[in-house]
Amino acid sequence: MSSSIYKTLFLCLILPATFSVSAADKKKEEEVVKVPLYQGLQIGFDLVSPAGYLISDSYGASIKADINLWNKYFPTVELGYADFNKTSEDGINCTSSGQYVKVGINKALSYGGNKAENLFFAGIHYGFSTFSYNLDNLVYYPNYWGANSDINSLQDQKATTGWIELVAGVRVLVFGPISLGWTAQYKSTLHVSNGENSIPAYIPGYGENFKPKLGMAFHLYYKLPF
Amino acid sequence: MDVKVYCSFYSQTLKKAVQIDSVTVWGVGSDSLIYSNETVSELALELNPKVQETKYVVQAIASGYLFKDTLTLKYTNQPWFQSMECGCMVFSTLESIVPTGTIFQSATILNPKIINQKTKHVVLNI
Repeated sequence: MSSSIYKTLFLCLILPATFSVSAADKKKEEEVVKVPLYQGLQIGFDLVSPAGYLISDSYGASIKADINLWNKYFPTVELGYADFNKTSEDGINCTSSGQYVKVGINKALSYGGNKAENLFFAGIHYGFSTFSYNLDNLVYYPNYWGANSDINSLQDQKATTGWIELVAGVRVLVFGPISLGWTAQYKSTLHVSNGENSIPAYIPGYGENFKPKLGMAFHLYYKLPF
Repeated sequence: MDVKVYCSFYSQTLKKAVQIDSVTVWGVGSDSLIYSNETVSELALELNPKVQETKYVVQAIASGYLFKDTLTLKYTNQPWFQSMECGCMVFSTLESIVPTGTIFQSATILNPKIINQKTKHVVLNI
């Protein structure tokens, strides 16, 4: 067979494949273009913290917002306040209060609905808090001299803390613009600046100061109409 | 989680760290012995958190003779809250340590911060 026949045969085999690859690319491109960038803004309210003193030593309140981008990425920011009051078995009393902020991003692992109204997600957040605390009825570690310091309380200790959270959760549409969401948190402090005479026992937004730790959050969401 | 002043020994004749035999140590004003006729390479001494001066008597037996030296430590105190479980302790900043000169010729402060970490704070020169 002459070389020209081979060339013709080759072109006949290659051209359909080229057209089909282009068609696949175009369909994929169309699918990506179909989901707009901005898919909505949800405001969330913490349902557990305000009732905290009924079940723990702390209470607080927080509000969060997350933006739906492409039904895929959900940048989120949360502002909150927390209060803590605990007395140890030895009688040491710690009271603490302060504000915190968390920023991060969640990624949809799977979703349902045109605008991801039902969502299963995972994410990473950074939290930061500045706060003050008081320590009363101080108990001292025993020593050779059997003597203790005369200082019985430490007032107005100030500290700042940053921590990281790995989260996973679900958000479920209840009715209309209302959703409920549960989030599991795995947290660890990154940096803690101690008080003048103390290590903070409690960090607003994080919890009692040990690492790592697990947490749980429960939010009511409202989807804004724009 | 002890807060102690760690004092090692240095022989100026031998030009090296040494240990001392038959050492007995107690605090002035206390009946309890910290060391009782022991061979030690360092002393770990607690400071009285209620005052700013603590004295320890160091007694050693060498060549059948009894030697006694008194260490006077002066410092400032700072309370430190560790945790709800552990409570408080008192950290100190060592200002001076002066021996009477019978056993130790002088003392050198390497690290004046006395906290809940074991480190070399003082060298007692023999």
